[in-house]
Parts: sequence; C-alpha cells; structure tokens
Amino acid sequence: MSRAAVLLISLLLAATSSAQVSSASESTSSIKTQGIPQQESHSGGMAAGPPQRAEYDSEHRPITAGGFVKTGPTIFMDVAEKAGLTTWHHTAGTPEKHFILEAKGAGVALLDYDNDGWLDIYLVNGSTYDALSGKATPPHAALFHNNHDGTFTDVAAKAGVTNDRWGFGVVVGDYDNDGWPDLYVTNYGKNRLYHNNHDGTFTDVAEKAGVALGTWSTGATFGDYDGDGRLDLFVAGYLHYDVNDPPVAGSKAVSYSSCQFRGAPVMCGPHGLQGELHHLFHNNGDGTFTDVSEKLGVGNPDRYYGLGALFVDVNNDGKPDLLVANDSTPNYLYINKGNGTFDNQSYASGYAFNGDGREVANMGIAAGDYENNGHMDLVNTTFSDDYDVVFKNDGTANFTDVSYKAEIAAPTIPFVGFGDGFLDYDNDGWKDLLIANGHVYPEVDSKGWGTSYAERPLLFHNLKNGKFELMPAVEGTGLAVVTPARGAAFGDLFNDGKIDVVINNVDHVPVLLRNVNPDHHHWLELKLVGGAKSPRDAVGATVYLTADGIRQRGDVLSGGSYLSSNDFRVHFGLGDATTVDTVEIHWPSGTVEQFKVTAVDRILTVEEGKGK
Amino acid sequence: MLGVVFGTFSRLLTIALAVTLFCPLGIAQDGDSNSVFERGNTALRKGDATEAVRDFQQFLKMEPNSAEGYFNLGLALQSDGQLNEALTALHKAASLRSDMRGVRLFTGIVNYKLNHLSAAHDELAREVRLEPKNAAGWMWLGITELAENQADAAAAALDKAVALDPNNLDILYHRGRAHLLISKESYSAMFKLSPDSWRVHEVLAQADAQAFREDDAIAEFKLAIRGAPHEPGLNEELGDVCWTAGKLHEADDAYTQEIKNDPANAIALYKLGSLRVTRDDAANGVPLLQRALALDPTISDANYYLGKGEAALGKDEQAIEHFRLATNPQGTEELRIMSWYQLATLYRNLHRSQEAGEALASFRKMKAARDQRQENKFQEQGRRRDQLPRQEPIPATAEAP
Repeated sequence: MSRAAVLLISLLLAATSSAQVSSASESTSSIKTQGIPQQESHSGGMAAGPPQRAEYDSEHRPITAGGFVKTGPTIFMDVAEKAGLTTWHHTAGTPEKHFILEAKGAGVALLDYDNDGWLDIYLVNGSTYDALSGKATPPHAALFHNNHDGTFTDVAAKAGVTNDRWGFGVVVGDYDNDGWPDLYVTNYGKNRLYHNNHDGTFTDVAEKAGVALGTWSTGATFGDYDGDGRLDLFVAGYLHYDVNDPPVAGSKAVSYSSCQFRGAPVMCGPHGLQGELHHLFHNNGDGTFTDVSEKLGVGNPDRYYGLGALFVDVNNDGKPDLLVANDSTPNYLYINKGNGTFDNQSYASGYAFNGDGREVANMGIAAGDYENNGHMDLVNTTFSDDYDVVFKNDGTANFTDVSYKAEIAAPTIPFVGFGDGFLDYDNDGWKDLLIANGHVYPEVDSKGWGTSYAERPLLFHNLKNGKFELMPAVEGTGLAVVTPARGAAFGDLFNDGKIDVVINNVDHVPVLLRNVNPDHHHWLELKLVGGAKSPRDAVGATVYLTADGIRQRGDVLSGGSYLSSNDFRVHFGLGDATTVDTVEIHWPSGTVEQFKVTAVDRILTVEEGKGK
Repeated sequence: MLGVVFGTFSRLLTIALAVTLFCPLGIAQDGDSNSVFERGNTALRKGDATEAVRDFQQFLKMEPNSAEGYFNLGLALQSDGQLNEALTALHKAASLRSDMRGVRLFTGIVNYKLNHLSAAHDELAREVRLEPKNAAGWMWLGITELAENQADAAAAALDKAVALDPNNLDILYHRGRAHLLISKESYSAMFKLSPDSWRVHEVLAQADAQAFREDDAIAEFKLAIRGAPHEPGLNEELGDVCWTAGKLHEADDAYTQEIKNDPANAIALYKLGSLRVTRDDAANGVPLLQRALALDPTISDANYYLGKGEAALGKDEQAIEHFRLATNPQGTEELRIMSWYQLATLYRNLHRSQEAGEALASFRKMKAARDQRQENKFQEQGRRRDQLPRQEPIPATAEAP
C-alpha cells in the first residue's frame, strides 16, 4: 500500500501534461504520446547531449568503472610501475576541481629525443595555485628516457624541460630541420619551444621564436602548410581565463546555468565563458615564426573552445589540412588550398557537427584510414551523454557520421573521452581504435548517474567491414585499469612491432599500456627522413603499403589525440604476409617514391630521394 | 497553505476592490468625513492597514450608518490581521446594505481565513449567485471547496473562474490542484477496489515511468498487459519505457505487439518505424513509417525518420523528398533543424553543391535562432537567480588565489 501511495503521488507530481488520448483507438484506457521517447534538453556543464540512462554492471558499478570480465584476451598490461613511470605524478590544482583550469589535464608525447632509435616519453604536468603565486615548488613535467630494457628514467631536469608552468599540451616537430626533434609545450601562461641541443638537453626559445603567447593554449600541431619544407605551428586556445578572477557561479560574469551538470553545481565553463584565440605561426626559417592566423582566417573569430588540433591531409591532395576539435562548439576544418591559404570547410564538410547537426564537446582527434580505402577518417572523442563521433571520409574531405553504423557510438556514451588514436594492435592490417576516458567532474562519483570520475579505456577491434567490436575489459589487464585519463600517445615503445599507449591521468600517475597481444602477425615500421624540400622529420608524408592484397595508408603526423603527439614512425600490421608488394611514399615535397620490401618485422629508415 | 493562498493575492484584491468599489460612490458626507474616508483609502492602498483602521473608525464616528465605511473598515481590519473584528464590520456593512457588491465575497474570504469553511462556502455561493460573472468569487468558492475536500465541486467552480478570467495565474494554479486531487481520488479508489487490477498496474507503471524508474515501470506494464493482453495502448507505453531504458529489442517487441492489437495505431507504427531506422534496420523501418503516414499524414516528424531510413537504403531522392516534408512548420523544431542538416549532407554527397549550400544555410539560420532563444532563456534564468542569495563561497581547501 505504501509503495503504491508513493508511486501515485509521484505520478501526480509529475503531472502527465503532454499525454494525449489516442484518436486511433476506441479505447480510452491508455495514454499515447505523439513524440518518440527521447529527451531533448542537454545535461548542462560540458555536456552537449541529453542525459542518458545510468548504466551499471552486475556488481552495481558504473559501467565506466566496471563491466569487467574474468576471462578473455590479454591485449594490454599496465606496466607503468615496472617501467618506472609511477615515480612521476600529474597535479592540477585541487582534487575537488572547483575551476575548469584544474580539470582539463595534460598530454603526452612519444619522441626519440636523443636519436638512439628508441622512443622516449614526455609527460606534461599541471600546477597548483601556490606554485603559480610563487609560494610552492611547481610540479615538473617528465622526460622519461628509454633505457632499452623496458624501463625508463626521468631526465627532465637534466634535459631542461621541466616546464614548471601550468602545462596542457605537447607536440613534437623538428622545426629547424636539424634532424633532432624539438618540443612545443602549451601552457596556461607562456608556452615553451624547447629546441633540441643534440646533447640530451633542450633550450626554451619560445620568446625568441615569437611563439610564447601567454594565454591558455591547448592542442598544438606542426605541419608545413605552405610547402616551403619547414614546419609551421598551429596552437589552439581554450578559454580566456583569469586565475585571479576565476569564474564563479552566479557572478556577474557567469550565470548558474554555466556551472551545472544534470542540475548539480559544478565548476563553471566552458559555456558562458569567452573562448581564446587560435594561432598559426609561419616558420620563417631563421628560428623565428610569424603569426599569420588572422591573415589566413584561422584565428578562431567565433571564439570557440579549442582542444585537439591536427595538420593532416584529408582530401588527398598532398597538402596538410587543419583540424581543430572544439569543446562544446562546432569543429573547424580548414582545407589547404595549396597556395598558402585555407578555405574554411567546417560546415560544408560535415566535420563541424555530429550526424544530427549538433555540436558536441570535442576533445581529441584520431586520424586513420580504418577502411583501408586510402581515405583519412577521423574519430573525435566527446563528453558523456554523447557518443564519440566516427567521421567517415569519402576521400574529398566530405565526412559522414557513421558512429552507429561502425558500432562505436553506443558503448562510448557513458564515457568522457579524451585521448584517442587508431592503432593496429593485433597487426592484422586493419586499424583498431583505443580511447582513453575520464570524467571532469569529481562530483559524479556521488550522484548515481552511472558514470564515474575515473574510467576505463575502450579498445575497439576493427572487424574489416566498417564495424568495430568492443574488446572486453578483462580483470587484471590494461583494459580494466580505471583512471581519470586525459592525453594518450601511441607508439612502439619497445621496438617489438606492437603499438603501446601512454596515458597521462589528471592528479594521478601515468599508465603505460604495453601491447602484449598474443598474435604472431608480421609488421613493418618506417622511419622517414625528409629531403631538402620536405620537413626533415617528414611530418605530412603519406605512405601507402600494399601487402597480401590490402593497401594501407599511414601518415607522419604531429599532434592529434588529446593535446598529445604520437610516434612519428609509420606502423603497418601485415597479418600473415611476409613480404610487402609495394611501399609508396608521398613526401611533403610532392615527390612520390615506390619500392618493394622483402624483409618484414623490422624498422626501416627511408630517406627521401634515396629509394629506401 | 491557507496563508499562502491568502497572502499576496488577497492583499492586492482587497486594495483593488476597495478602490474600485468605493471611490466613485459619491458618498453624501461632509467635507471632513470625506477627507477622513479618503485618507483611510490612501492608507489602505499604501498597505498601512493600522492607519487605515484608525481612519475608518474615525470616519464611522462621523458617519455611523455608512455601509461603505464598515465595508472598508472590514477590509482594513482583515489586512491588519484582526479577522474576527473584520467579520463583524463586514456583517454590519451587509446589514446596512444587503445588495452591496463585494461584501459577501470578502465575508467569505475572511471566514475562509478563520477556517469557518461552511460559513465561507455559504457566503461565496451567495456571492456567485448574485455576481455570476465575478471570477474572483468563483475562485474563492473553489478554494474553499478544495479545503473542504470537495474536489469535484471545486473543479467545477474553478473551471468557471478560468472561463471568466483565463489568464489569471492564481485561478489556473488552483484549478490544476483541483484536477490533480480528482485524479488522486480516482486512483486511490481504483487501488481500494482492486489492487491487482491491470488498470492499477498501468497507473503504477506510469508513475514509475514518470519518476524514471524504468525497470519498475517495465515490470508494472508487463503485469498490466498480463491482465489485459489485448488492451490497445498498453504495449505502446511499454515500448516507450523500454526505449527510454535503452532496451531497444524489448521496445521493438512491445510496439510490434501493440500494432497487432491495434493495427490502426499510427503512432505505434511511427515509433516502431523510427526505432528500427535508428537501430540501423531501415529495411524494416521504412515500410512501417510509410504505413503510419498513410494512416495519419499529420505526423510530420515521421518524415524525418523516413528520410533517414531511405537515405540508409540508398534511396536518396525519396529521402530528400521526406526530409523536405519534415521541414514543414508542423513538425517539432528540433527535427526540422535536423532535417535541414540531413538535406545538406545528402545534397553534398550527391555533389549538388548549390542545394547543399542552401540547405546548410537554412539549417544554420534555424539553429542560430534556436540557440539564441536558449541562450536568452539561460540569461533570463541567470538574472532571476542573481536575485537569490549568493552561492556558498568556495571552501578554503580550494586554495584559490
């Protein structure tokens, strides 16, 4: 009786005002509604989609921090501790995350800074308010040198790359074509351009180079947009933010509606706050850069909230186009016209919105040809209550949202996606997808919304038919590791032909997902060295590899994922093929070279103009 | 509750009636008494009830047989919280002029405030008999009947009040309360009569669904369906809850059963068709949507899903036609906006650049207008909230600068 009474009262309170009596039926017994049962309003806060149903596993854990299975394939193992990475810890403000500055986390870069043939790891750190005001020692970034034995040693202090500012993003590029990778680190405040001194140390030349800025920068990407053989630099801005006057709910500057998620008070933004400008710096070739963003129309006049950024050729004309994933606002796609200018095709290309024509909270960008048709497809990670969006490319920069068809959409809805990347984890010749997740509101842990602050990564296996299969989170493996993830970088850390993933977690130690998938497939990795008319590190090069009847595409890209930078070596899984029919390299200079490879399971260095 | 009802509204009503009833009467009073009367009215308008009481009492010493004086004294006394005294003054006014407008209304109101519900009811019933076009009279009669737990009578009175003054928020509020009470009584009676009847399960299911307890709602709907397996509508409601809960396969089964029970249910056909299209089963969704539209062409939104389904099947021209129909102003705004976006996408894929550009422009224009409206709404909410006490300051642990 009491339950019934409660239910009756709740019914009465809910007041089914929208209900209508059926006209089609003589019966008046049941209520029929005209609309299909979908909610329309968004959740508020950083979310763009309507609130979705809470999802729990059999042990009543939110699916984002549960859904584990006891048995299944062991694909990744978190070896961060064994590798020595857990001596380092990311820190950003306070655990409560009262302000958005504290919540966006930081990226990670994989680079061979000392040219010893082994990938090293650069992890960006945040900061604290005390450090900003000089009252405490700032948290340091880490540069983990690869010891070639599965372990790493933090040499950041010795290398002079601790940053010691409130850091967010990192991107790798040999901007001066000296054959040594340089680092660009984005901050709240002035950014760093760490020039590689070729002796294991770096020198910050950002001010001298004219790329220091001083606002809140996030994603960055190197690319030779004008084809002069030198890497230019794009830097996305997030919010115009004053740490001395942070946004507070109900203040004159910020309405309450910008500071709520599902009706609960949370940190303010980005809605209701002013977006920061984006910057494109042209490389002058003399160690300095010139800001051409306004001139070229890529400076974010709409004041969107930029996060992920990537130069990548999406219309197969050999020129790097520019993508910017904007948080809670439409994405940008600037098509490179080949004459040093861009055409804003954000809306016309279909990349600005998801397939419903709705802007989502875009975070990271994965770029890869997952259908092996030579077209560069994209996956943008987004906030919870929205699905991560798979943008299928028809080869002319015409994108279609195929997230549901690809079976990526539904599993990603409860998660807040950040870093993402295509990787052929099982070397079967088809690119799979890994997404690092973590919520931004610590409050979600106490709300029963079926989501969690710390979340597990999602690995989608390519089924070779345009669809993906979510791989199980087997207990004890890397796919069951639950962290508040942000940046993720992909690369072959152990030179074993298997792509590993490093994840930078907010207020947490990093995760190193070592690829231990027990396949025996073959592989090939190409380290490209550009000639006189290409960037030396070959950023912007596209490789088509044909083996066993499958033609794959791989690109040398700088940036992408979430505020991160991946291995420059182009990796191909070959399945059971033991020879490669052709390797066709489209160099940034426009030169195309083709050759055969008869030996596989190795890393080849290919210099432009030298055949192989 | 009574205080809330009586609070602001009765004060405003009192002043308004005092002004409108007695200013133009042209009472035959000498210059002094007239100015005292006016002084009392002014004090009442300003909300100074104590001063108004003094003025009207002084006036009545000069004009001891003035019905108007007693009436206004009654209003001032009730505003001053002296309800028994107010009642005495109003009775005196009525005894001096039994046809006086408003006296029974306010006598009823004061009786209501004193919780003399029966007396209040009598006075207000008499008031509406004498003044059948007095919306306030009907409203107060309805309010009194609500307090007397006479929901049906209250609803009837408040329906009349709404008919006379359809834009009065107070009347609309009390009318809503009356009808909710009727619903509650109906459901309670149902439960007492037969706690395990399918109708009770249906109501419980609806209650669960409204409270987002989808699993409970599904269970109750299934119990209702077990009791009345062929009842039209039940399976559709079950389908709705399953869809909301993300149980799409079960939703499909429920809608399918609904259509078996009620083949002419265009809405169920529309829902099942839309569900199948969104589940990437356009081949089986499209025919259902076509049937739904054949039965009821006014379901404009069905055109959107039909367009989606046809696009998925590669029938681009048909998809364009249906997306165009879905941009009809009769459809919901969200789907109209999305239809323009789908049109832009389709035209783009067909390399019809000009049409793609036009559709995209329409999409962006409608979206911008919608977004601006939402932003204005948020801003307005913010402005309203700015009037509330400020949020608690950030705890010291935040270490904010």
